[in-house]
Amino acid sequence: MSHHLENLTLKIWRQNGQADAGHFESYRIDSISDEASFLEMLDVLNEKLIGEGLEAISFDHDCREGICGTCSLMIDGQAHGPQRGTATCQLHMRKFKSNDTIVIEPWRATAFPILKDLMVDRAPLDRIVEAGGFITAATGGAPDANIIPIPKPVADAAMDAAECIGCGACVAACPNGAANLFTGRKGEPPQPAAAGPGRTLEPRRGDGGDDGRVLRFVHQPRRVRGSLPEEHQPRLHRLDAQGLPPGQGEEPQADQPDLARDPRSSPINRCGAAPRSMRSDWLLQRRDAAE
Amino acid sequence: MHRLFYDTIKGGDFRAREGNVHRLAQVSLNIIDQMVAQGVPFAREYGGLLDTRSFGGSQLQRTFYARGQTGQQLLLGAYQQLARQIGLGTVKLWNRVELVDVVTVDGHCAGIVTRDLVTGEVRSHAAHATVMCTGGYGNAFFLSTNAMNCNVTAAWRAHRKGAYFANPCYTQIHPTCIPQADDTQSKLTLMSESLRNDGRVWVPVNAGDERPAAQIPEAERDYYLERLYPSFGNLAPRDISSRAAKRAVDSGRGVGPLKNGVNLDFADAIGRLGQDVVKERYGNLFDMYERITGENPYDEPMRIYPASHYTMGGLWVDYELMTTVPGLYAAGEANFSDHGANRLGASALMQGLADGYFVLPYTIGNYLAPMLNKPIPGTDHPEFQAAEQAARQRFQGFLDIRGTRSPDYFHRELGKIIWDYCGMERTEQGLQKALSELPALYDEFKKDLRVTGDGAGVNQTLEKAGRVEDFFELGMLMCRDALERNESCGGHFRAEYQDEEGEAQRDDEHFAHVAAWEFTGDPMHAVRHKEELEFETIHLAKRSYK
Ligand SMILES: Cc1cc2nc3c(=O)[nH]c(=O)nc-3n(C[C@H](O)[C@H](O)[C@H](O)COP(=O)(O)OP(=O)(O)OC[C@H]3O[C@@H](n4cnc5c(N)ncnc54)[C@H](O)[C@@H]3O)c2cc1C
Ligand code: SF4
Ligand code: FES
Repeated sequence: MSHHLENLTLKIWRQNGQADAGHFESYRIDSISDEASFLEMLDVLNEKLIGEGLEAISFDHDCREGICGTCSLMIDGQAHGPQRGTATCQLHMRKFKSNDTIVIEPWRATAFPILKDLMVDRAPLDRIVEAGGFITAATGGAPDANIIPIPKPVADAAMDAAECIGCGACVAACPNGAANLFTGRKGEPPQPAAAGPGRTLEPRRGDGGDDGRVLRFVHQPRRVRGSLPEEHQPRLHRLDAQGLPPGQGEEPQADQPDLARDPRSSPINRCGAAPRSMRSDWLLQRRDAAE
Repeated sequence: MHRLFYDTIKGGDFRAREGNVHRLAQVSLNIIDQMVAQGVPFAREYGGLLDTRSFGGSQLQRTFYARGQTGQQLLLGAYQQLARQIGLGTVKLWNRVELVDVVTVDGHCAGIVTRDLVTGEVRSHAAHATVMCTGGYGNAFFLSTNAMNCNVTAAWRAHRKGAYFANPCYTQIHPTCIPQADDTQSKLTLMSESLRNDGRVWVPVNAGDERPAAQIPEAERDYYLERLYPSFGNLAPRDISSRAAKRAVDSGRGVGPLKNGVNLDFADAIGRLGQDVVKERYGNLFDMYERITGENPYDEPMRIYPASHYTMGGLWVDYELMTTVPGLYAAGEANFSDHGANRLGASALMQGLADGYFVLPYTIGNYLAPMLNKPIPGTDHPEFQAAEQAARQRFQGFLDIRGTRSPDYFHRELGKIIWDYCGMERTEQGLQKALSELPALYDEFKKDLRVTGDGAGVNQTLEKAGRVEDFFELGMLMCRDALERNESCGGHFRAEYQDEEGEAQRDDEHFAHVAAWEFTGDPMHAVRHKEELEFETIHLAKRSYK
């Protein structure tokens, strides 16, 4: 049977659009079923706020089953929260206890401007894909799909890379706000051995498949960074001993590269299976450290 | 190909247009080639060729798959091709922008009016032709497996501007979802139907059996699908499996803390294939199940229960996918075209891809060709201005009510009425009741809605208000359609029309037609038109999966 969590304190980032400085607001909430998902807990809070005549907290979500990559919360300083391999929407309240204090922030990355409260603009990821994250076979007469057999291990590796849900957690967790993990997945040809014409990253001028592709990939988020006014560039901050950001209610501190060494901020939070090219020992070690 | 054609017609309980389904079966052969060429990593056998498996409602192993995420991978494949076109400058994408009205000039679709979800700006877009690929309306039930942003607004606004809405009562309830756990639940999660390939569905023979599954001996388990439908067993089509599960639960034999589910048991499969094979096939689904329920399906059976999943009804379209408004097209789940009264597994994506890749590119030209070099009405046309004005007033109107209840409250209540009376099993009495409760609740919505915040920026409460209002009107039409269709077919099961064994009883003499509804200002008074269905090659037969 389900149990209820009582006396939860939520410290939630509120920011009314890009021009607002933003601040943390504390809310207390009771009687949350441990069967509820994290986002359902926020739904309950929002219903309560509307009941009190206050504005609901904006946050992105869509499929609520871990496949669309729309949900995007930093929970206690970790992208998608404490459960490994789990998107925010799949996190359930049974992972928390009564009397917990939970800090909820938006993705904080230079490339992702905050639209409102916990909602950020992740269009830069779309731009990376537009810059070359596709196969250049045009729609129309396609050859028989079985004409080039693809060894199972290769097909499986392609599938590993394709599992990326485009959530942007890797960008949010990276101390440099870089999209390397995402880009690695999109840059790896989905079926590397299907080397028919136009099926791989073969040079193909004019339609995005030329050899400048990877360079164009990496320039996407940078372009956005350059265009953001300094005061709106989101920053990372270190968590204190209780797992809380310093100085609640204040502007977060400037870059704290130490976070990179905090195993709890592993960028491979959501995606246990990074593409082969990304699976360096360094990543694996970090993954173990995160366990 | 003929087999697919036949199965789809039969699966749709002989309520789909034969010509459309034939075309679908024909072009389906190209879809996989197309998607593979564009990089979708379908599963391969060790020999390197594409792997297939069987899927709900089919005895043939003919479904291509990509781990447990076929739909997602097809979507990503298509998205990446779209992104390529955006990069090339041939397509402009408007992110976070919602269609709020359709504009017609002289009876032709002239474009749309949108609201920017970030700035609140309302503006018009003029076009030669408009295509709606805005999905189904399964969230009318509030709880469904659909994404939270699934809504009927686009199709409904088109309907209000003259597009007929076909067969709104044909909704599909999917048999393998995780049962509801509590009252705050916001959506239901589908466990892929592929699980039925290896899982066995059962409930205890005796009502009120409280023992854990492992302690119930074989003799006291009822593998009801295998018992009732020996040739299809656990792979019986969705509508049939769903109703069987409902009956098992209604008879007090449900399992789980709320007794609202049935077992889907992998013990046999694990014994036969080994845990590793089961893990390879379904690992990610098992993990997902564990995340949601906190239970480990390798050790105890999954619990499943039916939930709203897909809507076969939608905007009426002709063979060229044009609605009754010239220049306005509908593709994918938003139209009603190919699935009749019930859809088979995997064929939603097949139809959506067929519509977009292989049908529309060839049919839309027929409408566009005569318009070459002719001017079209611009966004300064009075019809656009009027529609923009109306949209602004509508959203301001929601803010001005200042009542006491949130849009979600009304959505939940509305969904409950539709689920109770127009869900898996419908009766005349129930539908009458729904048709008296819905307008009353809608009146309350108009008087007592509370939307906080304002209309000048991100306001998800306000977005929701518009969507819920459209669900109200659609809900009434769904119930009216269900009430008028005095037969049972596919996903539409009227308790009055069943045979001695409790199977659906069609009435081909009176109902072998599509019901296409015309908006007249009030959904309670919509006008029902008929498109007779003619079957030239297929013989109408009783749909039996025994
Ligand atoms: C959990 C789940 C699993 C499924 N699994 C399978 C499967 O394995 N095989 C299969 O064949 N089918 C499956 N289906 C069904 C299939 O995925 C859908 O039918 C299909 O995705 C519909 O595609 P679509 O493009 O028509 O609509 P959608 O994918 O629903 O897209 C509609 C789009 O329109 C947008 N939109 C809606 N209204 C507006 C508006 N007013 N303004 C602007 N934009 C709007 C939405 O945001 C959305 O992006 C599954 C469905 C679900 C929910
Ligand atoms: S690589 Fe992983 S973390 Fe990054 S966007 Fe993809 S799924 Fe999300
Ligand atoms: S809402 Fe889709 S992944 Fe979380």
